[in-house]
This record gives sequence, structure tokens and C-alpha cells, in this order.
Amino acid sequence: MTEGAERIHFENSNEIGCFARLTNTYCICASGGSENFFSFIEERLGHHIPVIHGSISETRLVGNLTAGNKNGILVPMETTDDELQVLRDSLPDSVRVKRVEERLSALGNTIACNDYFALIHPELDKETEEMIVDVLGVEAFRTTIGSNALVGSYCTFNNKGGMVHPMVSTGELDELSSLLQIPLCTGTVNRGSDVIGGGLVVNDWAAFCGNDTTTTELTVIDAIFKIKDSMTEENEFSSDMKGALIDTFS
Amino acid sequence: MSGTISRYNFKAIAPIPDSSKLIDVVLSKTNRKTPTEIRANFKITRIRRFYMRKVKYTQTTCNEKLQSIVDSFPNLDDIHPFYADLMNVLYDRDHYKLALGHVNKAKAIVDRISNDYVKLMKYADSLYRCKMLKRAALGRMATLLKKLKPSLGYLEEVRKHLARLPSINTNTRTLLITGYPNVGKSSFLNNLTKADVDVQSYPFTTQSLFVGHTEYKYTDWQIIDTPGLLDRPISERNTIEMQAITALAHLNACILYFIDISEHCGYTISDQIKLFKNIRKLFYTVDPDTQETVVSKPIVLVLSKIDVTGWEEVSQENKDLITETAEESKAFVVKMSNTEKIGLDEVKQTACDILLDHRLTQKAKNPKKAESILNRVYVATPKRKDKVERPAHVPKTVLDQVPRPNDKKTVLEMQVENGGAGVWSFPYQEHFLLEDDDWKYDNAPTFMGGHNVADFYDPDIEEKLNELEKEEEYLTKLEAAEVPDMPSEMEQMMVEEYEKVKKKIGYIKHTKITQPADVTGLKLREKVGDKADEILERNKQNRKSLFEIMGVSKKRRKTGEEMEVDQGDDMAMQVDKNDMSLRMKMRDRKIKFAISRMEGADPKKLSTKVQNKSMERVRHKIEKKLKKVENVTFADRMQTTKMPKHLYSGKRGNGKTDRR
Repeated sequence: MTEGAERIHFENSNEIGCFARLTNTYCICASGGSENFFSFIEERLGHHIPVIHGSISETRLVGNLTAGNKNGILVPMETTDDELQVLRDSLPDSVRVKRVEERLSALGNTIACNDYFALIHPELDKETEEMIVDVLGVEAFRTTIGSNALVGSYCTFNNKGGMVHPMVSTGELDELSSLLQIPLCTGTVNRGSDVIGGGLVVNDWAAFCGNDTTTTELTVIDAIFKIKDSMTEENEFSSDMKGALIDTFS
Repeated sequence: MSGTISRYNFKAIAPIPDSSKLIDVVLSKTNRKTPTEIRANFKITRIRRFYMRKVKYTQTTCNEKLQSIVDSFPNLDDIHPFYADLMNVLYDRDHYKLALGHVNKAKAIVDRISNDYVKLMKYADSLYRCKMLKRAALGRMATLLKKLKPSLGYLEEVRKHLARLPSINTNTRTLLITGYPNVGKSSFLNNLTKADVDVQSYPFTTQSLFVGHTEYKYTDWQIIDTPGLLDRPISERNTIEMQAITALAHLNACILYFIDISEHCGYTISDQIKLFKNIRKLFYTVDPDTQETVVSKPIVLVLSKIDVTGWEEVSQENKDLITETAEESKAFVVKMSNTEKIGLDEVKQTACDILLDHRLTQKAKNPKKAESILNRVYVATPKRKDKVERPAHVPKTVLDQVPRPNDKKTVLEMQVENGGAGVWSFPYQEHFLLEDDDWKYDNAPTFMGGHNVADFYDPDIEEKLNELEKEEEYLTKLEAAEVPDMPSEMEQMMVEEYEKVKKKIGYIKHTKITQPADVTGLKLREKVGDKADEILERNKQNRKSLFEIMGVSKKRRKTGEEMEVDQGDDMAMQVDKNDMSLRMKMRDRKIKFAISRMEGADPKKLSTKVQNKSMERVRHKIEKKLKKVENVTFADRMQTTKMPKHLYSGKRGNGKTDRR
């Protein structure tokens, strides 16, 4: 597959999760002044899946404002008709594009999903939930991450594993893990930032994180999302390094 | 102490000046920073103030200097017990405290001197007396500083030595090497780290603590080499040995006790075991729960120099002694050789592993801390809740590792080629995945007639279009199948009639342009009576003839307007209707005026060019006025200020510029 998670920035911002929506069948990037960010992703993914430019209600926050997986993408009501048309034209026909009338319109912050499950903000409308189930083809669970309602900001997961806010207790972690049926761990990105959804975009074979992300954080990302070829089911975390790692924590 | 990361930076202490230099510094500073000019004929209060200032200034500088010296040295009660004890051993705790106390005390005395002399100066009645008092005060301060000489000298020595102490982190993972002199401690350190400690064949080569660093399991490990120990009671030990004892007692480390089984160091194995049992007391603590003495530090007995004497060659008695001792103190036994480099890694691994284990068990004792740490390394693995397979979705091209085509330009490259960021932006259409690539750049309507096309988007439009196209195709086929017959007579006639009608319409249009419209003619009737009737009649005739023609033709034409006509009589009614509505409009005086101008212009009489021309002008004028009203669109919308402020507001008051 790939070499593992890579560091990248969007016009000097480490919060790349705000500016990109990456799934297994497409990747939408904000169009910035320079094309550095776009080309970086395009070079790695462009020959596998469509990597496209997009905007939502004339902002660049495509990551914050949209929620999607391989089956579809939900955009807020504020999306203009032109933008919607561009998305429809650019995405593969198998991907459904749908506008959602929702008060909490930052769908990327309030919905976290992979191809099978979605964690959603407890206060989302019932209609929105139905739309999520229908368009994204997932089971949706209303939940919080460590008593934080912005599930999309504080956790990220693909079909193989996921990472959540560092303050989540082990009990809660077990609960979430059995909900999502994937291994989960706590972690940070961008040198200790707990806004994982903001600093990390990931699909089943590629991951990108902010420029400040440390090597340790990268290793954890590679391991839990199983991005690297060498990361098999067994060898991550069960290694004998664990003791030494714990010893360095105070 | 254990919670905080204790790193002591003794190298940062500033050099301590000796007493004479300190005096120089203080006095010259006073001279530089206070006024120097004074005259005897000045007011006495001023003179007093002048000298008081000098005394007080000297006092504060003195105080500052002494305080900074006292502050720069570590307080033995605050630092880690290892460092406190080490400093006690090296510099003598009492001496150290006395020296610092001496300096601190000097501060108070300086204050007192200054206070006394300032008080005295209040009674001085001349410049001379003031000056003498100042001299006395500064002199006494200088003497005081001079007396600090031995203390300052001692502190400077301590500072130099402290700066050279190895920076030992008291909190980190540490291996502590100890044993009799000449058993291979320093060689071991050199083998494992880059410490490069001096190794010689005589005892007590190592006279102080040495630190080396090595890596194990991706973390840093600190290895401390200590001077060799002799088997004697602690009261008889010298400074060099005491450093080792301090480290053994206070550092939370794994103890590597070296035993030279070849006995080449000059001490028998039993002697060495005896020493071990002696220092073992340092690691014993009383368990608070069970009241039993337990070994509080992990210990490894390292049997060195096995290249000289193998473990097999050791006498059974000694073997038993070693194993027995190891069991007693729960120590591990590892054999190794420095010269042959046998078993070095084994020693390191054993020591590191048991120390790590020890440190982790200690950490686990605090449940709150353990929870918070565990949280950070815990990976939740789910139990299968159903039998649904949820595989990852990885495209085949990814699995096959299909490389990116070389010739494909990245958007960034395109941008650079086309003028760079901000000049060129990537067209969205390039991304479009449409059925036909030619459609990419087609203009799709977004707005039409002020409506958003997307609002009228019919999801079935594609189907409907296909249906229509099919129908059309079918119809054209049908038509193609039918043989086109010759135009019938009837049709021929219709065409002729049509041509006639067309001609007539052309004529009407022409008359409308060149003559006053029949509308105007109607208006005229009221004013000019018979003449107008005449004109109207003529127009009627014109029209009638037209409709008579139309009546003959079988095709009845309907215009969008009021021309629903079957017979000539209806036509007359129609005109009357027009007449009525127009009569209402006659109130417009301006139009009346225009009409009155028209009175004189009988079309029959309009023969000359000049007359024609003037007629044209008048008509033009009327039309222009009508157009003005007709052609006003929303673009001409204008909102003028109803009440311009500057015209309605009164005069401003004096000094007021604010109109509101």
C-alpha cells in the first residue's frame, strides 16, 4: 500500500482536516491560492481515486462542512447550486451527493463515519440521521467523545481502526470500539493537539496529518489505521517497547 | 521530590569575585552612579542629602551583590537527597552552610551600618563632618567585605567543582555500577557507552562519579560508574568511597555489583560477597504494610573476568556462596568479560529489564496515575457483535501498486507554467467525470429569465427527453414513408391569398409610419369633426378591404391582440371600443396641444417638402414624449433625497460642527 502517514500543511495551517475530505472513493480538497496541498495529495492518490477541488458555500472548509464515505457525501444547505453541480459532475456516479437541511451545519464536525458506521452529534435532527443512514449507507449512533459532542472533530476512523481524543477513558474506549467494530486508541496529532479530526485525514490506505505531527504520533497513526504494509494485525502495540514507553510517561 | 523532573544545572552559577574585587566593584559603582559635585556653601540639608545618598547607594549595591551570591548556590534542604549528600561528602555540609551564612549575615550588617551612619549624618553640621561620616560608613562596609574573603574563596572553589560534577538525572532510568576496586567497572562503562573513563590496572583509578548514556528499547539509559569500595565500616570510608555510597543510597537505580571471579583484583570471592552483604543494607527498606524488610532496588550480580577464570573453574564453595547470596537479595547473576566482550549485552538486558519492571510496579502503585498512563497506551479491541463482514475498501490499483503515470502533470506544475499562484487557477471542469469528455466545457445554464435553473431541475428530465426524441424519430420516419403529393389547387390559392395579405400588411405598416396613426386620426375626429370622420372613414375602408380579403381566405389568422374579426361590421364595433378608451385619454393637455398643431396639416395639402418636414418634426416630438413614459424601466429607478440636510437644518451653534 503506501509508505505510511505523511505530514502536510494547507497554506501554513496544520488543520488539514478542515480543508480536505478524504474517503475511499474520492478526495475533495479546498482550492487555495497555491496548489501545493492539492498537488501533494493528487500525486499520491490521483491515479487511484478522483482528487477534486471543491468549495462549500464559497468557503474552503470542505472538511469541516461535509461528511462522507465511499457511498456518498452530505453537504450543508448553504452549499450553492453551482458548487453542488460541480461536486455532482466531478464525483463518480456511485457517490451520492445530498444537501442536508440541518441547524448544526458543520457536518464534518458533527458526524464521524467510515463506510459502515457513523458517530453523530446527539443533537442532530432526526431527518438528518435518516439522511445519513440512507445516503452514506451506515449505521448511525448518537454519542459523545469524552463528553464532547463534536464527534467529528475529536475522533477519526477508517474501516480498520480509529483514534479518539486523549481524555477518553478506557471504559469509554471499549464501548466505542464495540460500537464501531474496529480497534480504537487515544492519541494526538500536530504535537499534542487533541483535535484529531482537524489535524488528520485518513482512508483505508492513506493518511495525511499536519506538519507539526511528531514521529511518535505518526507511528501511532500508522499502527492504528494500519496504513503501512508492515503493520500486520499482531505486531503493533504488543511489542516489548510498551514498558519503556510507559516509563517515559510521568 | 519524585514527581518533579529534577535536573540541576550547577554549571550556571556565575563566578564569585574575591573580596577585594567585590569592594572595588561596589565603591566604583557608587562613585559612578551618584553625584560628585558639592560645595561647602551649599545649604546644609543639601549637603546631608548628598552624602546620605552615597551611603545608601553603597548599601544597596552591597546587598544586591551578596544576595545574588547566596541565591546562586543550591539550598541543601531543597535539592534531591542524592545531591545534598554528595555535596555534604564533597564540600562538607557545615562548611558550606557556614560560608553561605557568613555572606548572608554580612548583608544584615551592611544594612545596620548604613542605617547608623545615615542617622548620624542628620546631626552633622558641616560638609566636612558629613564627608567624614560617609568615609567611615563606606570604610566599615569595605572592611566587612574584606572579612568575607575566606568564605568567598571557599564558595568559588565549590562553584568550580560543582560545575564539573557529572549531570546526573536523579529521576531517570539508571544503572549503578559498584564493587571492589579493579573488578572491571569502568571497562564495562566504556564498553557500553561513549563515556571514555580512564581505565588503569591500579586500584582507585576512578575517583569520582562518571556518567555514560546508552540506549535500550528506544529510550535513554544512564549508567553511573562509581569509585571502588573497600570492606570497612562507613565511618572509616574516605570521600571517594562516600560518593559511591551516596549514589547507592539515594539513586533509584538498578545496582550492578561486580564480582571478579578470577580474584585478579586482589580480593577473594568471599571478601567480595562480604562487601556486598555490607552495602546491601543500603537497599533494604521496611515495607509499611507487612513490616518486613524487603530489597527496594533491583540488583544484578555481575561475575566479571570469565575469560580469565571460567565459571566452571570456580570452587564449589564459592559457587554456592554466590548463588545463595543472590537468592537472599533476589538478585540476578550474569557472567561476562570486558576484554573478550562476552555477555555485555546480557548484562545490559537483564539490568534494564528488571529495572523497567521495578519502575513500572512502583508507578502502578498509584492507581490514579496508573489509570491516566494506561489510558494513553490502551488499545480497545472490539468483540464481534454480529457476523457481518466489514472489509476495508482499497482500490485494486492501490493493491497492485500501480504507479502514477509519468507524463501526467500535477496541478502545481500547471500552475507554475501558467503564471503561478494567484494568476492562474485550476478550472473545475477538468475534474468532471462525464459520459462524454467533450461535454466538460459545455456551458450549462445556471440562471434563465431570472430563475435559478436548478430549482426547476426535474430528476426525470433525461427520461422525458429520451421519450421525446424517440417520438420525433418515429414521426420523421412516418413522414418519410408518406409520399409528398403535389400542392392542391386549394393550397395554391391559399398561398396566393397569403401573399396578398402580406402585401396589404406591408402597406398598412407604411401608412402608419408616414401618416398620423389611425389612433391619432380617431382622436382628431372629436376636434375637427367632419375632417376626422373623413380620415377615419378612409382608414376603415382600408381595413375593411383587408378583412374582406381575409374573409375570402380560408385560413383565419389570430394575432395576440384584439384582432379577432370575422366580418367587417365587427370591425366597426371594435373601432368604437377603441374610440371610447381613447376619449378618456384625451384629457391629456399636452397631446391635445400636439393635435391642435396637427389641425392645420391636412394630409392632402402636405405637398411641399417643407411642410412634410415640419410634420415629421411634430410627430417626432410627440412620439418622443410618449416614449419617455413608455420606456421607463427598472434601470431608471431613482431615489432622490427627500429633504437634503443642508437645506433644512438650521445654523450651527458656536463651536459646533456636529449637525446631529
